[in-house]
Amino acid sequence: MTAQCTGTPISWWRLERYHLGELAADDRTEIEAHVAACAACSACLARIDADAAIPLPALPKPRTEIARDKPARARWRSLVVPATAGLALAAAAIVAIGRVPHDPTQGDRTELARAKGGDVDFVLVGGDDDVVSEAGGTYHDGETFKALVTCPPSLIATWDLVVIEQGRGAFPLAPAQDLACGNLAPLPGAFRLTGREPVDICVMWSEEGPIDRSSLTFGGPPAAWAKPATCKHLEPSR
Amino acid sequence: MDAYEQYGRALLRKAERILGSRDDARDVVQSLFVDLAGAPHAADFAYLYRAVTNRCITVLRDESNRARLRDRHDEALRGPPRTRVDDDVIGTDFLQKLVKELEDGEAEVLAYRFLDDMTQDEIAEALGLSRKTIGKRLDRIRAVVRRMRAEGERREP
Repeated sequence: MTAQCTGTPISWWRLERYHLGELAADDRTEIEAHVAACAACSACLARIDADAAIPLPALPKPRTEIARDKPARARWRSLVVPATAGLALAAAAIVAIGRVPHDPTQGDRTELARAKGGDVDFVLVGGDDDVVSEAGGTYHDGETFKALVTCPPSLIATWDLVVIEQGRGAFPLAPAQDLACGNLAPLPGAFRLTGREPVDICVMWSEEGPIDRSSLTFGGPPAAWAKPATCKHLEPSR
Repeated sequence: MDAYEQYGRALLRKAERILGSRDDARDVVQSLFVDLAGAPHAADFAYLYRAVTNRCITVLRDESNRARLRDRHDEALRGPPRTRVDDDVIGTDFLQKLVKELEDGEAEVLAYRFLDDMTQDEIAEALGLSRKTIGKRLDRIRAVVRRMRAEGERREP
C-alpha cells in the first residue's frame, strides 16, 4: 500500500527547488523535518536524488548549428533534383538562393502555422555554409536547398513544398507521405533555385491525403489558402 | 551549466507526472528547449516549469495521442499519490478526459494541485493570481470531477 503523507505534502515544485539549492535556509530546514517523518514525501525526494545519476538524453542540435554540419549536408546533396526537370513552371519557379545577414529591424518573417498537437515550422538548409535566416534571406544562382520540418509527432500528413514567384507556384519535390514528424525531419529530396525575383518557399500539408496541386492558387497570405502552410521569403542576391 | 543540464531532469519528472510516459515527456521537454534555443528566459526555472505544464496539457488534449499514452502509461512515473480529489486519485485515463472539460487556466491549476501537490498559495504565486481565484478554479475542477465520475457510474452501474 502506498504511504500517505503525514501532513501537507511538500510539493514537487518545492522539492525540486530544494534539490536545486534554490530555497532559503529556513525553508530547507522545514522540508528536511517533514521528509524525515513522511514516507510519501521522502519517496519523492529519493526519486529526485536517484535521477541525478542518470544522464540526460541529448538535445537535438539547435537549428543554427545544422548547416555547419558539412557531412550531413553532403549526404543530402546527392539527392538533389534539378528543379528544372519536368516542371511546367520551371522558368518562373527556379531561383537560386543566397543569404544576407539577418536584419533585426525587419522582424521575423517566418510564419508559424498550427497543426493538431503543436506548431509546424521549417528551416531551409543549403548553399555554402548555413541555414537560411529565420527572417528570410537571399539566394544566388544554382544553389541547392533542403527543407527540414519541425512538426508535432502526432501529425500524420502528406507534405509538399512550393516555390512561389509572382503568384505562380512550382513544386520541385515529390509529395512526402511518410514523413515521421518531430524536430527537423527532412523532406525527401532537395531542390535547386535560380532566378532574379523574390520568392516565397512554403511547406504545406494535408491530413486528408495528397494535395491536389492543380487546385491551388497562391494569392494572399498562407492563412487564406485551402491547405495549411508555413513560408519563408527569399530575395535574389545582388 | 546550461538550463537544460540544470533543469532538464526536474522538467522531465514534471512531464512524466502529467503524461505518465517517459518517451512523451522527453519529447515535450526537448521540443521546448529546441524552441527556446538562444532565448534569454530559457534559464528561468519557473518559466520552464510552466511551459512544460502547458505543453503537456496540449498533448493530453489531443485525441490522437490517447491510445499511445494509454499504451505507454507507467503509473510509477506519477510518484506517490499525495493529493486527492474527494479521496480519489486522478488516473491518467481520467485526466485525459478531464482536461478536455476544463478551461486552459483550470487545467493548469489541476496539474499543479493534483499532480504537483502544490498548495493554493504556491499556485497563486506561480500564476500571479489571487488565492481566491485559484480557490474558485479548484472548486470548478472538483465539480467537473464529481460530475464526470457520476456520469461514469451511471454508464457502468
